[in-house]
Amino acid sequence: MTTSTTTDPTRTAPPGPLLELTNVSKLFPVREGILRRVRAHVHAVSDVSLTLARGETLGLVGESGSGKSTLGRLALRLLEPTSGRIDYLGQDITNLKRGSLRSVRRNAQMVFQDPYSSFDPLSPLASSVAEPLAVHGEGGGSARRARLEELTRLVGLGPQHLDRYPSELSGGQLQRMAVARALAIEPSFIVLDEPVSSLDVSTQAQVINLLEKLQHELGVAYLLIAHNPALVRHASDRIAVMYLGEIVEVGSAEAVYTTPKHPYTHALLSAVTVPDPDLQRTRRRIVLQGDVPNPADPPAGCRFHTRCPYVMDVCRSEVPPNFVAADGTSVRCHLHTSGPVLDGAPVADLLATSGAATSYEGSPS
Amino acid sequence: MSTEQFGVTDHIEVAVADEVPDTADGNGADGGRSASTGTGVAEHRRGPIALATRRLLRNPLALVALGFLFAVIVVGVLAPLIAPYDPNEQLTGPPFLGPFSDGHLLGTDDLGRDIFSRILYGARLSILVSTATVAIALIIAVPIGLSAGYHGGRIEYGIMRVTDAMMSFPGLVLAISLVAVLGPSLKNTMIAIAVVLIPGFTRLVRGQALAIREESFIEASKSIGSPTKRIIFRRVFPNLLSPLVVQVSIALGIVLLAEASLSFLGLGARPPEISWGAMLRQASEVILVHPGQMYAPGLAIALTVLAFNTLGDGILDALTGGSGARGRRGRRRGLTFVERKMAPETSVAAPVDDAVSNLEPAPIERHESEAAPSPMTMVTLERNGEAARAAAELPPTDALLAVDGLTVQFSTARGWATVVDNVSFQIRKGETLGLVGESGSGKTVTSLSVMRLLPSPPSRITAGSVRFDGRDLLTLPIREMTKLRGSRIAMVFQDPMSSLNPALTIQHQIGQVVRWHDGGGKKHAATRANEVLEMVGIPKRRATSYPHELSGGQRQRAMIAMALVCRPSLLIADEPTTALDVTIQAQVLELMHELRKELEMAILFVTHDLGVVADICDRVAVMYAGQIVETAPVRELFHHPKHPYTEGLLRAMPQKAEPRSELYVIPGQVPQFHEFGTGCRLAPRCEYAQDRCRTTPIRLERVDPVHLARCIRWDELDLEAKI
Repeated sequence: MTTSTTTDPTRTAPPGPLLELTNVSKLFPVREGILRRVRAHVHAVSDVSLTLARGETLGLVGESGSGKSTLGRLALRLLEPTSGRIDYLGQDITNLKRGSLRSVRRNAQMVFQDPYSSFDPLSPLASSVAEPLAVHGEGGGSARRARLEELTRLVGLGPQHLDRYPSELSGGQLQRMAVARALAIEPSFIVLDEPVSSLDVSTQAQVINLLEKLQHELGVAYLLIAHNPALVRHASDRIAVMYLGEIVEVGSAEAVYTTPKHPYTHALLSAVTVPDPDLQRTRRRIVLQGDVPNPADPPAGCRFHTRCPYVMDVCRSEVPPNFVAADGTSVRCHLHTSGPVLDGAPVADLLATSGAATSYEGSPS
Repeated sequence: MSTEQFGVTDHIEVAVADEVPDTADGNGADGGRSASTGTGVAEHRRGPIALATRRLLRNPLALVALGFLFAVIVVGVLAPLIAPYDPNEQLTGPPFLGPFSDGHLLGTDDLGRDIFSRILYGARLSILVSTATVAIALIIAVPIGLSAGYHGGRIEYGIMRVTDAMMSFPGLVLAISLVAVLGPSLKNTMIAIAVVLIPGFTRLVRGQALAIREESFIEASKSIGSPTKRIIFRRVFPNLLSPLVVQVSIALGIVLLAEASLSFLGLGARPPEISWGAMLRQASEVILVHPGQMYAPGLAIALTVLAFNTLGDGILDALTGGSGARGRRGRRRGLTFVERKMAPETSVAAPVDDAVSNLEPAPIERHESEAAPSPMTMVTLERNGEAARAAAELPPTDALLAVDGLTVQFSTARGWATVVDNVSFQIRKGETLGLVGESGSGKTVTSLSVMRLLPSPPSRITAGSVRFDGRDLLTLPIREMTKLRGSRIAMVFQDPMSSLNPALTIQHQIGQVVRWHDGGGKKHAATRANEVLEMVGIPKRRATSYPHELSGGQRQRAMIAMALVCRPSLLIADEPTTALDVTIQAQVLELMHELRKELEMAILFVTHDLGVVADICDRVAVMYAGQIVETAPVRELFHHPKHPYTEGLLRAMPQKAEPRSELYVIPGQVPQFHEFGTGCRLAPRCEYAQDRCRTTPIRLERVDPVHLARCIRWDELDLEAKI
């Protein structure tokens, strides 16, 4: 595959993280009545701090309604944060207005969950994939067509696919086209919002492989949003776990997946099925009782306390502090700082000593 | 019953759309690697607009309407050239001459003017007024609607409330009062009618813009950095044109009628302007003496309005994929149609060329049971039982459900496509069978066929039998079938939101099932509903909730409760956990484990997730391209797969792979129904395929008494090594 990566702005940019979110929150007003008065706020994202390094993949997992997608859109500045600060390559982009945002847009792109609704049904794909080029004034006529053909080859499709309409391609092919469109102006990072969850297993693997290959070749960073932890673990360098708008645990993919330190991460991972009947039937899963609480009225203290099997009194009243374990994982849970102190050990260790909770044998994989 | 049907019909649309692409174009074969092979098929590249136009031009009724309107326009434009007389010239003949008189085709009016000439000139005015009025309305309504829909600011909010208020007046009354205020004239009539049209157009445009705004492709454009203007003009506007065109066509008719009405009242066209409405008015003055004067203008108005409306209908049909046309061909039944040919046919898979002429094949054993359209799928059966019986892995007496040689076809643009081909499997009492496959494998169609829930048309069952408790469900009349559905056999669908009735509480919906099958009063039904809701972990206080008040997991549990309320012996679960989060999936799986133990219920579990299969299934049947390719007990299948496709599915799971390594990929894509070769259907994608795999049909072979595989190389391949 030949591609020109010479104009990648990240190569010449100053050191430091590509993207940095500091205490970012996003509240959505809930309007009611004829006068549309604001009755409440949905706390979609609360006090989130995250960094994304160049060329890395940060996986973002959590249940639906946890605020993953909102966080992804904040990172792209498709939404304006209610509070907090967003830096892109050391530049504060928190309150940039439309015109200046275009330079950010040039470097940050997005791939959506539903490949079928990601393309204008009335336009041939060439027109949709060329949109970033047209908007950012790159190439024209035959040069643009050549670039389009190069992009389609890059994602494993042929130039003939460019002249088709979205309804003529399969989900997997359209998702490749979505990747091609995102890559058209050589961004330095892409937000992947559930990029494979509407695809079949074998097509899923094709798209994930493609994304990894492109990262190797182009050095693009990914924020991978997905609800399947197994997939995120496979494709990510680091994993952040979200619950009800907050990041409860973030660390290297290996550490978070094999030695989860937050009870929620632990439960989430235990719910992942393993394609092996013997393993699947002997391992115990922690079935969380109840549902995610209403984000318009989040519980006080630790937001997970209403469903946590290890809940203590302190959890109901105090917001847990951020705790950094020896392996670099940072976790927000009172278990590490008060009560039976875990002090950075995985949650599974707790089970060895306390008989009260469900036992959990064997770690996934 | 109504609640179940609610879910069922919804689901069928999904299944049909998913598994039987109607626009069977040759794009499917290329998954990138084999891109060149797919393009040879044909030039089928057509945009949605071109497709809709083609469909419109194939609709004879719409064509007639279009032709008529075209003629009206031509006549209007050329009126001065064709008209035999000046329309205002008096005493071209004696007054009140009847039609077909000498020199006056349609006779003459009270002043002896030639009616034919006046009709021609009237066409000119009517068309002009209609188009101009609609154009004025559009020029004002489209920008307002677009901006209200796309931005939705405070000003737009205010404007929308004003249009709401305007719509609460009767249109014609509003127009009449406006003309009365402005003073009667043709120009004012047009303004008045345009004002009446604006709110409707605005609301339509706003509604469409609101919906389009939520599509991912608009967000994609935003994230690209496209200017808002570009998004609105290039993306939003073209996509709302199609519903607008339909509305415009109908509005043209409405305006014509409104103009005629106003002119009839003396508020619109006045002499010497000639409009059909004004002609009616003149004729009405002498209606008792010369009723014939009314015919020509009346007929002209009626036909033109009819043509506009017919054209609007035709455009709507064309845009929505001709569903109207299909609906007219035959009413859908709630029972899949069965047409089993008694004599075996040689080639099962070969699609028949002409869909329409083969809708009713000749020598057939019909089980359409009742004369009236009945709510089930249609069945055309063919006994190719030999192969089917070889495939059966249990003595038939042992099975609760025995599907034998089931073959289902769908009518597509390319003729009958065999979507499920000679599928056989059995489920014992209390056993859970997993039916696994990718989308397009036919697994959902198979599961729907068991209860004959596939819509006919476009589907029909052409061979096989479905024995439940010894009775062939394919021969059951609709009344018996509905008795079974929901009581002895129950079903759970993927999307609980669209399978529950949003207007009724879950207690009510479950209660309906109880009353339908078990009888008893409302009180008994409510108690049963509460019991079963409690069993699935929904507390009594939530029983009177509406579906939208429940979370996704609760809704799925409510669906399961509804399925279980009559204690079925067989539960068909079609991807019941696919749309759920892993944590909620774990809850639902746990629940199903408990319930099947408690109720000794057999489950047909349709899924594409092998992790879920490993969790809950006792045996597994793997489907590929409409055929079962492997069936075995769950441990055997996962540890000793004998079919390369099963191996591929297992290897593609990310759980099994080294983190950050390249995932295994089955090359290419599931073939479409018209692309099946004579040999193994996996051969083009199989790394172990040899020439002999491609030439002869592959049969299910017995690996051991409980393990079957559709692969001629199963005993030479070592598939376990790689998983």
